[in-house]
Amino acid sequence: MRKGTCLGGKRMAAQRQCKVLNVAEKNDAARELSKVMSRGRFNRREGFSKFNKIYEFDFNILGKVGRVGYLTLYSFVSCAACCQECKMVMTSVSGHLLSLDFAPAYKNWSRTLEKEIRGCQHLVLWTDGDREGENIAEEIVHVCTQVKKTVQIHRARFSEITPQSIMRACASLGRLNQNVSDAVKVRQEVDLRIGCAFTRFQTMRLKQVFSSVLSDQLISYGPCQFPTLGFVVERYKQVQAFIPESFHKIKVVHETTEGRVEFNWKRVRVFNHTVCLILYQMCLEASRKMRINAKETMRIAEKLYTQGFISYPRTETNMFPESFDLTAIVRDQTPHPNWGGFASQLLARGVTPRQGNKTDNAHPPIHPTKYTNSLQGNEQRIYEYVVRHFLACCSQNAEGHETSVEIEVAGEGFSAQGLAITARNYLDVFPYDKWSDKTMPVYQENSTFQPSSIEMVEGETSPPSLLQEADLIALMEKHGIGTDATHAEHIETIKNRNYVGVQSDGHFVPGELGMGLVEGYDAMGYELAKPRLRAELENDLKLLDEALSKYFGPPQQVTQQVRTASSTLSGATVQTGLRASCVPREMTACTTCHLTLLHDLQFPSIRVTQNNASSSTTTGSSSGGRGRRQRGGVSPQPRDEGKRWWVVVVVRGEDREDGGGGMVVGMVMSGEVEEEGEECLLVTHQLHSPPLNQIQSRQFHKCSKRGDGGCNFFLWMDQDPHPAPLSSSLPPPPSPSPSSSVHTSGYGSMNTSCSGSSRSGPGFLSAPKRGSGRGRRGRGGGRGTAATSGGGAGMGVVCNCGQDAVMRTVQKEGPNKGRQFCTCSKPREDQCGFFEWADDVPTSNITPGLFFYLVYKKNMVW
Amino acid sequence: QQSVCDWLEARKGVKVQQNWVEACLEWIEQEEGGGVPMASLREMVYGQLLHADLRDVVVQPCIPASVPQQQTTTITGHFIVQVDSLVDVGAAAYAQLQKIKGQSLDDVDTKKNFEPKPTRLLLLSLTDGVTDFQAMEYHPIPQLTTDLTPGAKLVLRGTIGCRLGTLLLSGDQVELLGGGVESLAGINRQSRVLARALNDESLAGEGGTTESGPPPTTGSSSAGPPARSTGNEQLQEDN
Repeated sequence: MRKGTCLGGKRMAAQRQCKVLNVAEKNDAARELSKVMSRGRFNRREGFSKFNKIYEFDFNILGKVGRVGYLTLYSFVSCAACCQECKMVMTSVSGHLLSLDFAPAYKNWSRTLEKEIRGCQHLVLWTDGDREGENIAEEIVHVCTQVKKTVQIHRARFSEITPQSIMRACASLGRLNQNVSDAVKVRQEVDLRIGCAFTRFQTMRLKQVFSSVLSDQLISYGPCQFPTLGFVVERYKQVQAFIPESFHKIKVVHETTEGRVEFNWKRVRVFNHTVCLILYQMCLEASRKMRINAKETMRIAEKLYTQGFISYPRTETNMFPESFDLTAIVRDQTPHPNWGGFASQLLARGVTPRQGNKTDNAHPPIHPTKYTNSLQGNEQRIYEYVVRHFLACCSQNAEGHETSVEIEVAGEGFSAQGLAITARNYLDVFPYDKWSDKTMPVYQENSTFQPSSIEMVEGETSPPSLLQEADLIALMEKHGIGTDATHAEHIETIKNRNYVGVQSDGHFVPGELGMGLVEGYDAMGYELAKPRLRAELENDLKLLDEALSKYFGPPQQVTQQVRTASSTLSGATVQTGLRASCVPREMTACTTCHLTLLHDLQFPSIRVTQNNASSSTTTGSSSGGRGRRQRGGVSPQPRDEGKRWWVVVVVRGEDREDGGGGMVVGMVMSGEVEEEGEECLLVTHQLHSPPLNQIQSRQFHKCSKRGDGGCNFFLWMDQDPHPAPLSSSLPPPPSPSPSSSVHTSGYGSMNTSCSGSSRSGPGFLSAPKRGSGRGRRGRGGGRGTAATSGGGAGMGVVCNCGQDAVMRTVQKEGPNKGRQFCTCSKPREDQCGFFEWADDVPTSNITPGLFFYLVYKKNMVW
Repeated sequence: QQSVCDWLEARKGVKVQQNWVEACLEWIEQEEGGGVPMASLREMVYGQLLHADLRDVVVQPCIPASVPQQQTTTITGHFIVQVDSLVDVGAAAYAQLQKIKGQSLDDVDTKKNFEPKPTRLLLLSLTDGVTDFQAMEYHPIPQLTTDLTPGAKLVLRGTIGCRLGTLLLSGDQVELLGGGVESLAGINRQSRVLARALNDESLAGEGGTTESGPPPTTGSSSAGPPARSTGNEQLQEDN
């Protein structure tokens, strides 16, 4: 009856304002919302909880509705007619009010709500717009309506606390989404049921078996924490199992005056020495062909000098004397078919020589002294080089931007990163030189150069690194384990349980207990620590959000996974050892006789559906022992049409003549069991069941093998003198007749081991730590040293460091002195090669007269 | 028989043993009855050739036997060879094996990894029926994959560089004829090849020890060729 008129409001409107209680999820949100709506004019007062303040202000929330002009807005319509400014009371909660717990503490903010709602006609829920928020909102409603049934309830949906978003929320107040809220409820309930039942069982059981080691430790199981643990263990095992392999790679280095470039092989690495050697040989041979060695070069240069074609070559002078007629020399070269055109352009633009800083005061920088077009072979090449070099240093700077360079040596590809040229200028006439900046030269397309070195390097593959927290969270995210809000919590839990440890470098290593649990379940073929089960539940919840109808009525199908899960919980748990290798033989033997557990955990309003669906009985008992169940389909019916039914449990149970049998809680799913040849017990329960803290149970374990094949194994779960916390507050179990026979038959036989097999074992209790040593904390560094020599192929590629570049200033003498540039912040040898001029347009040019230098130091390619 | 032999040599470039062809024809006669036209007879023999082990069939090597010993050489021509096994040496065998077993590292990139993706580099163990040698995928050969049936036949043509006894192959030099050798299927299964590369055969996983099929027939007249005929033998005229 949402569309009710605000009679109270109408009546009171004459006297006073309509009062609205607003509840946000957190105090911060409440404050910010108040600020926005009141434009900063609100009063703050204390509530019962010092963490949840109360903010009061006047606000025309109803006017907002009116202004948008919705008459259809179901609830405020009538009120809008009667009130303009409402008295707003804004408070908050701290997460869930009714968290499913065995001892829910009544929180102070609940009292605040109860008090504040009394004077209000409306309740506006400002909880976050996610699934949890919806559920918290429902809880708030629950608390408030208990006090005041007539209050009108509105849900404000906003994605951010901005005036626009909030105004929009005010203008479009709506209803709670029951589906979404239910999904949360289901998950909470499933988590708690699975978690508490299994934690309890696991703790009790393992304590019995390994009392000396575990003492009072709680061995928890949680549907999120276990997969989280699983990630750590899996990675650790992968690191352990890793087999390093040696590989080879080819590294090409090009050293220039302006920097050293290391090119990375496109093939990255090759896991075969011969193959790599072949490719290496080919690279070497190819590069040898390119070279005129330095001695030969100088011999030719001397000859050209004596013939008068070029100036004296053995000089390191790189400054032209002031009196030098550069223009005349450039003009001399204009007839040449190859660079004459460039020389002409140069004359037209003007000769702008770059000045060096060295002079021997005897010789000018090397330059052509006479035009010729008749030289041959190497003489021609060297003359050409000198001319081009001269023209280049008289030319304007080249400009460029960052790019990556790929080279080919004998067909092998390599790559490095550098700058691409936007304005070629001198480079047009000087193809030899690859423009470079201080750290990285830039290469022209289709140009060739002589690598300074080509090396074949050996390396070894290294195992993946152990997980760090960031990796773990990423994995949890990837697999849908937990939410942003709970990731850290789950990780913390597995740390606290000593399931995992953290090395000083932040890497997670499984502890013995964690390793044992995971390996134990794995060894039994169950994937409790795998993310799949959990992820599927999360997916189902999403379905529930969106298409609730799917879950109404007779359940559809129970997935195979559910069966796996529940059989895990039954068969598996008994034999859980600290680790697979530690499982006492006697325990293992018991699984061969299909030991299952009697997990007499009773759900309120649980209905046990036997094979004949029509004759299903409603009972609090879920234990087996009703005589032979028939194989075949079990199709539970909803007890109450129109209500939601969930298949909670699928049980792998075996009948026994003496009434013993097994069952165990499993997963919540909707569905219909289609068991093939497997007997099962299906338990359904109503979603709207009483709180879990009313669960009454007494649990015991028992061999399920029927007849004389069965052993006498029997164990009360709570017979431990130090009962698990959860069990302490439980009232004594009811004894429904079907299961009571089980109780009786086993009671008094307080064996802690299942001795049904031929082996019976003293000693298994004392053998818990026959560990292989794997999994010891702190040993997780992995074997194999990281292949730093060969594996780190980072050089020359993009900034591997991923760090911010630093701004530096050119210190070296030259035209760029004082200029700022950005580069990798690491030490020079570790730099990734990132470079960018701070003034954005990088330029390059060529210094006169460095012929000598080039020949000797740069290994120029002709 | 002689004409089939000649045809194989002339058109397919393989010189095969007379008695293998005889056995082959005998077997075909048994299976099909007489009166199979010459053209289809040839193709059937050729189909059998693809599924035979060249070692048992070929009398004359097509690739110079000196290739494995030579530092650097080239061969030119048209060669039918058999791929006994092949492995991608561009990637770690361990990682490849994990992938086959479905145990790849469940990883997420929390750190940005800029290392370029390695390119595949297949290393092939070949035989021309007489000489065994290696060949590497110098330039990509898209026709080949690591799940190639062990014993599949290839035609290599053109001028092929050889170094350190290894042929350097490019895609345009390789034509995949198909086929396979039953006796190699087990021992040269990809997982076993990888496991061998890691010096631990036990890593090959289940079925690692099962050898499938008996050894192939030898050229003796008593045994026919393996009676196999897969539908995907694309018989092509040589050009």
